Amino acid sequence: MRQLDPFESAPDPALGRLLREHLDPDDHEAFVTRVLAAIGAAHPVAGYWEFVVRWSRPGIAAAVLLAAGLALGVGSAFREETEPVSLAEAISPAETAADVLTAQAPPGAALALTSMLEQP
Amino acid sequence: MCCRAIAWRERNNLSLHVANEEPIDRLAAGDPDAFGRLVAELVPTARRLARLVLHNESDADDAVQDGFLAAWRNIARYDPSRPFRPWLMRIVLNAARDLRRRRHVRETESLPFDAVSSTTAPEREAARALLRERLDEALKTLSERARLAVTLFDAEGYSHAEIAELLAVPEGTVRSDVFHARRALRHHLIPFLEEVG
Repeated sequence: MRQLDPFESAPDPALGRLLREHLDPDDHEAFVTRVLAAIGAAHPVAGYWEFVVRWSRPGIAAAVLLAAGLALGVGSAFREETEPVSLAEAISPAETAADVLTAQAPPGAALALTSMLEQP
Repeated sequence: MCCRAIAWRERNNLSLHVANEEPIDRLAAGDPDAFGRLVAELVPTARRLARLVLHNESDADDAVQDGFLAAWRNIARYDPSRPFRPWLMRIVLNAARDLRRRRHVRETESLPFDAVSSTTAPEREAARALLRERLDEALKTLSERARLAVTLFDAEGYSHAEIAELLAVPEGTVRSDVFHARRALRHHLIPFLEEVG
């Protein structure tokens, strides 16, 4: 051990050797094996996020395709339940004036008033 | 790092700038092989440091494993522009301190050292055991920071700047800690060394 010098900037080899011998546990190799096994079972966060990022785009694309397929399926199901209607049928009145006049029962008040309101 | 510290490390077969020997980008990308090589090289130092904090070999090993695992899981947070060893050792030290909090390890708990070679003469073996006992007592008179500073500097070959980075204190504080710790250790050990020759 060297004499004490407050400005000494080099390690003291004798003191260092004493400290290492004092603190050194046995069998570093077995311990390294133990640590590496634990590390092998773990996954770094970086790897996890890389995995997420790598799979996010295909995942989003698959979700969009699935949603589009579902929308098409639902749309086609609704279309099959309703009969197609032509434009002429859609705009023609349900009951003509002749129908009203020839009916055996008198028309309701609502229909009569509607007829009056529709007069120019 | 000064040239004398580099030469000292080379003489004592201690790893020097381990991170510089591994591609930093491989480490940062979580390459298990690159990290495994670092583990193998840094385990001895990490175990000695953890033992300074925990005074118990089994707990120290648990802490070192926890620390290396934490470092591996958070390798993406490592800044490649900074030195790797202080970053890793700081995580190990934090793991040791955390384990000490959790297990309420008492400062006085210490396992006996039994690493004395069986081939030495009985008198020499007894003297070495006594020396270790004295060293253990001397280390206990120091603060944890001073114990770490003097061990990192004298036993592990870290520079003052690296120790400052690791312990998150100014470099001047490290120099002061090393100086006072050396003085205390010498005060305890030199009379004994002179006595046993």
